[in-house]
Amino acid sequence: MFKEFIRSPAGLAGTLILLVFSLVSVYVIISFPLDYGTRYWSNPKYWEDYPKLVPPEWFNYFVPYKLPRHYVNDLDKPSEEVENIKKWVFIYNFDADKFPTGIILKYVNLTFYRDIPIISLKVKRPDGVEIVLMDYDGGIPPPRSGEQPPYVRFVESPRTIVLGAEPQVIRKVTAFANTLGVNCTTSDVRDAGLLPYIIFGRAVSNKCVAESFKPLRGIYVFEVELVGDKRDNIGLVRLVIQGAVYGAMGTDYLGRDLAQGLLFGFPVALFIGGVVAMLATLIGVTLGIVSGYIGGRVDEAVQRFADVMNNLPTLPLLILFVFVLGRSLFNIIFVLVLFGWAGVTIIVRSMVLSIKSSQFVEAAKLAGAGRLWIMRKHILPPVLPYSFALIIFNIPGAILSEAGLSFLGLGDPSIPTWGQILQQAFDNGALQNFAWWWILPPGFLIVLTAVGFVLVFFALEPLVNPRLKRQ
Amino acid sequence: MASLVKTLIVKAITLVIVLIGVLVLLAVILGATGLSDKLLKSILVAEVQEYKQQLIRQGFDPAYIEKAVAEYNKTRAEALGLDKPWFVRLPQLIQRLLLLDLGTSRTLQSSWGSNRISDLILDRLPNTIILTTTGISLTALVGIWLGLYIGSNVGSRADRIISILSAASYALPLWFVSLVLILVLAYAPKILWGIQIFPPGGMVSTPPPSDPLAYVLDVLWHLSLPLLASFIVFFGSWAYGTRNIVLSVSQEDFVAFARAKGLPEGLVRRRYILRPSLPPILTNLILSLAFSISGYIITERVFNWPGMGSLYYSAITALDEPVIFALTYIFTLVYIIARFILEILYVIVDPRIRLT
Repeated sequence: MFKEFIRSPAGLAGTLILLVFSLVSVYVIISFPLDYGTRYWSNPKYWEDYPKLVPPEWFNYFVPYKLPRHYVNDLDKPSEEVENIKKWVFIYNFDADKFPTGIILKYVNLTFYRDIPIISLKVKRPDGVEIVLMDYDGGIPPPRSGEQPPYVRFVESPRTIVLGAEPQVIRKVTAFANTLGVNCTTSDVRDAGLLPYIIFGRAVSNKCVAESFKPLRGIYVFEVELVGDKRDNIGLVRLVIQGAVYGAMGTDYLGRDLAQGLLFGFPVALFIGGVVAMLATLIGVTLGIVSGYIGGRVDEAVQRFADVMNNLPTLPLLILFVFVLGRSLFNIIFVLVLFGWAGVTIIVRSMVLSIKSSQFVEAAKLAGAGRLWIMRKHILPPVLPYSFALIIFNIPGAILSEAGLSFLGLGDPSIPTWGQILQQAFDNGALQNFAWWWILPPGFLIVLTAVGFVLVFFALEPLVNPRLKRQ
Repeated sequence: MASLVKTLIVKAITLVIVLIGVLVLLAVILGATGLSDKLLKSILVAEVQEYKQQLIRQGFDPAYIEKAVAEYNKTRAEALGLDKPWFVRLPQLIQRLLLLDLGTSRTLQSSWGSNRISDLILDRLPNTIILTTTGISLTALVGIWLGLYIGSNVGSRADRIISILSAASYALPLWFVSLVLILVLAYAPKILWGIQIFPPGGMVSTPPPSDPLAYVLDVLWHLSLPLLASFIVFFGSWAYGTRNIVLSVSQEDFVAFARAKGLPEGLVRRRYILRPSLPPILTNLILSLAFSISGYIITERVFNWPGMGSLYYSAITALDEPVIFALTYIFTLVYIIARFILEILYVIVDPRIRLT
């Protein structure tokens, strides 16, 4: 039977899809923490270094221009040390046709002994021009009264300087833009996010827009300088130059690595689909057997109820239930099971009716077997293989329903799912920004999972459905 | 004939019971979870707060204000029904709904500013009908026609392609196809080449054209992407479903007998295959029209289409209990009326039912 199943192209393709999806899920379960959603995915702080809303790295192979990659470098020791001056030197080779999307300077474990040290940042451009981006860091808390040296700062959370949001840096960069002949004001630079264009570009017109700058390729040397007491030091300095492409799947508006969110969606989708389909089918098969075998008023009641549940406009009710009960995974599963069993009951009952009239059931009855015993020993076994196929058939429906609910903003907020990624994409202007990498992959994964299960069901049905088998 | 009327009456009664059942279920959900009480209390607090502010502004002395506010609180709580538990309050609501008195909404308004729910529905229903009814009719017509054709050519290449399309339609959510179409056909040309081939959403341009003909054309232009999306998603399943119905009928003994009698193939197909295939095809058509009143909630949101689905979604996000109630009732009512129409149609198209 298995050979027959694999030989059909639908069965083979479906099995392959599901196999890959299961392997990915296992990998995710092993390598991701269970609280990934709350700890990382929904925590914007965790993603602050990442470039925002940029396509995947392989996008570079499909466009005639080159987008800069993400640059991160950590220095745990000063590159140069002269007397009381320490220098951390970062060398960034800019060789792209488009501009990076932002610059971030971070450091941790600042230790000083007397006055607050002066931390400055400057960049030497390939054309020989040197821009001082920052004279001093005004964000270092001074010693508290009674605090003894050494004073240690930024131990738990690093000092983060987002250059495009730092007034001092913007002022200096604006002044530099004016020397290039571009008429910018500080608010222009801040609001339009022109900082990377000015630092990494040469001017081709005097209008204060991004198009006025052409990339100036070559080696950029960023120098972080600390002037203070001889013993003053910084534990780790990090320079991030946010790229215009990132990772395997790009990033969203918060800079989240979409590859991670999509990966985490695999086990979640399979779990929701599997659990809902299993529970709904279990209830459906039980009710179908009982209603079909016992008959009479029980049958009438169960069938009328199933008929109603099967035909009601379920989507509004699903939305309402999840909204009222609260957006949690458990509630979503509960509601999907509640509206999912009816179809199975109707199918199983029709099978039971034909089994019921067969001779071995009559014989068992004559031999004095109880109802429960007959249902368990004679009715259930022939129904079981088909029930298994029905579980597979019901999985894609559950996955699609969850995705739909999530798309309406009713998903469990603590877990990233494909539907939620799509919802956030839709609500945060992915369409308007043409962020195709944010919309197409989650949707295709939803569709592909569903297709996998549908194909397996199509290949399985003729093998397990007694009615189709006979033909 | 008498037995026929009796069957129809029994069906009608069953359907009315279903309708009441859904409403009771809804009332229990909203009441037992405390949502209904919570909603009313927040309304009461807001009203009382406003009344108090008003008195303070008019400069009454504090003791009087205190007393007046307490009095106002009590009368408003009674008016809202908060002095009674939910299981006393909600049956009245059910009764009112059954008598088609839909009440007024708390927050939502129709485009002409009325907050009567019947006006809200009158405002939105035509839009939904324009979107879904045209979509379903178009798709179903082409699908059924093709299904009838391939039903008598089972195993052909067209047959195999349609069966694959039908499987795909089961796995393709309409709203995702809509998103892709908006991305590829509306935004991509606009961003990449600066031309707007299709509108990204909405029902008419802003401002709407004043010339009636231009207005109709504008709506049609906005309708094109949703229609394309529903055609892509549902076409396969219409054709495949029809094909299966035709196929199973043509395997019946009476068809074989008609052929054995030597009747011409055209006659066999018209009289012996199509006629008995009609009831199940009609069932599909009428039920999907009934569902379409409520079923396009997500798609209407994607296309920013001001229909019933969008209305239901905004009612839920605004926690507008009377609107949620009324709309769920209307959705169920439409379904139940559709079922009843079907029962009558069966009698008309199927002589086997009429004659027994």
